[in-house]
Amino acid sequence: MKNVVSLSTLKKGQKAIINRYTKEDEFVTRLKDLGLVKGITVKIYTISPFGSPICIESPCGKLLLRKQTLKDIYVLVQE
Amino acid sequence: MKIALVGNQNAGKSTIFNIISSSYAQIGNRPGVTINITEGRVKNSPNVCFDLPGIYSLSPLTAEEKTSVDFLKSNDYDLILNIIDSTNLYRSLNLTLQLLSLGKPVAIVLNMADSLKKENISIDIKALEKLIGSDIIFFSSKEKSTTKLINFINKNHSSKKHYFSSAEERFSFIKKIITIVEKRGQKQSISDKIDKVVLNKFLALPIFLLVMLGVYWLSVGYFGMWLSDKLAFLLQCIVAFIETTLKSWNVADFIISLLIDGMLVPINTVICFLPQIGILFLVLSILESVGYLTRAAFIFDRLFSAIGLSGKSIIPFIIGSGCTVPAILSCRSIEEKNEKMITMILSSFVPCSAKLPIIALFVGFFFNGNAFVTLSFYILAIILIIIFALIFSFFNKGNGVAFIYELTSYKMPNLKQTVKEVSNKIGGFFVRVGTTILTVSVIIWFLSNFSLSFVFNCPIEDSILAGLGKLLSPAFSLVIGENSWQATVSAIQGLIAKEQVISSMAVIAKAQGNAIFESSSFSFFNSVSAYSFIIFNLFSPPCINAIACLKKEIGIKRTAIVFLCQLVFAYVFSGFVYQVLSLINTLL
Repeated sequence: MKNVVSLSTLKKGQKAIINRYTKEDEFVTRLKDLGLVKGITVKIYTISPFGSPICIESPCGKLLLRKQTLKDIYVLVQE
Repeated sequence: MKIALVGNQNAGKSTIFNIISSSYAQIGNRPGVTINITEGRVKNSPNVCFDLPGIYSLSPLTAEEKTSVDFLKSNDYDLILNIIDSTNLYRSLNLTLQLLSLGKPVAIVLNMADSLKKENISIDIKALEKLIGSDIIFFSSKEKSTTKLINFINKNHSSKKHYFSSAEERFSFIKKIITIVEKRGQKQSISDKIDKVVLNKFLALPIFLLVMLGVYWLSVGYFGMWLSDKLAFLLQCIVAFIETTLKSWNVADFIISLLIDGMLVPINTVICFLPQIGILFLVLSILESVGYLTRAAFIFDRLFSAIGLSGKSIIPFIIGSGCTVPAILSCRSIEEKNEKMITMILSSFVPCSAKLPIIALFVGFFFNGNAFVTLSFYILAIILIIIFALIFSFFNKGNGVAFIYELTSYKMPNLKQTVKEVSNKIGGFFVRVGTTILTVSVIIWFLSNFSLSFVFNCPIEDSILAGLGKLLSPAFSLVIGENSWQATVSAIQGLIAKEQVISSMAVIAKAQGNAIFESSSFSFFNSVSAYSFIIFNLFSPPCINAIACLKKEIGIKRTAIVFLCQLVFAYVFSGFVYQVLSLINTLL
């Protein structure tokens, strides 16, 4: 699909819809339990001055996640 | 009836537990305060309730979460009381729906109802009850009457069962619920506006630096030191007064010395920490409840993740350059157990302010106060911290829970709660440090005041301490190139308090400042042995106060291991440095 990229490549302020995870483990289960499931809109709220972690805004609040984690989340870029 | 209190971390379970039961659970303002299951009896009923550690789902990640999930799967209870943060229904309902699959009745408390108005949210509780099929009540810990809540809990409950095959399915149901029951008005954006500045790519670091300079200046820096000095002066006067009074009563010298030198003086050195520690706790507590500590962790996480730690380690390391004691105590804001322990241990490697006089005296005399020599010790400390953190992270692989934090909105600190928290911490600090310090101080007093034939008030060179120094000085000669019991004894006293090193040298040399190195006891020092002697003192175990704190935080067994490892490391490393520098010196 066009425009489906890793969440870690997005810039500050960009919005995207979660499409899929590239792996399944306990940690991914936790991310899903926190509400980061397929179809949810997320926005890059801000990025740390050193490039990681990244703060993503979603209906489940603002979560701070390391860039490494975001590499496993693929999203459909909105704007 | 047995009732299980279940909810997300920080949803207010422990607060509600304390309100409804006659037992007491510890309350904290950060996630993960409840570690064991606390049991209590619900007021006005024969019902028993259990306060379970916070969970996000029935798939546990940490040991604490597993405790809760195991309890819930044991079936040994009759009702689940699900505590929900009303302002985050979206995330909380995921757990609620999972709880409803267990087949037990679930009663729901929409906690923090007072925050709903502030955040401009309204919830249709009747519609929510209908959709979920459970009894629900609004509650806020600010409510004066608790009978409504207790009556709600004690009545009979039944719930509709819910099954979902995946998280996606659950959340699509939750989305549907939210669109029906919840209305969110225009969000307050003050927090976002502050974050635009505080977390700005270019401003984040300077702002952090300013905040930390402020914290440093107030607590372990100028202001805290100034207060400590005043307090020390006051305490000295009191001790002097007690001493003269005792003397005027003709109390035996031995008793006076034990009371004054063995107990009151060392205890005073601990009490002198009071302003610094009190201010530090106050400022850190405010920074934490405001929400700045999470942001600091966010800014620095990248740097610390490279050595297996997280951004939260930055605070203890900075505080550690002032004093190791508050540095160890400030590690409490680190949630992950192993990381907390590693940070505590490593923060004692940061040269604290009590080590500065040693550096200043030796560098001043042997290196003309060269700033680069002084700087080299700090650089060495940073390099060693990095190396040790890497070694720890190598053995600790996979144990750490991956990094997830929540960036909460900025909040005004609750004054009453802050004061209560700070005074609790200060009280605890004095109780435990006081007991350990007292014991060790009396032992050291005994060793330095009695000779081997137990004669009191002997000259220091005849004391048991000097005897011990003579036993150890051949080994210590590898570090300083001279068989000197005087230097050995001084270094040993550094394990009690780093300030003791210089004052012990002054007592033995009967001289002050640079004149110490002109006395026969210490004239053997040269630039090489001066450098290795400083290194030994920098990296040997921290002072007894810090050790006592560490003992409380990580247990006596681990503290003993850390103590021995640091001692051996400091010895081997400073010996190595001495030998290498001597070799270079002769080759040049």
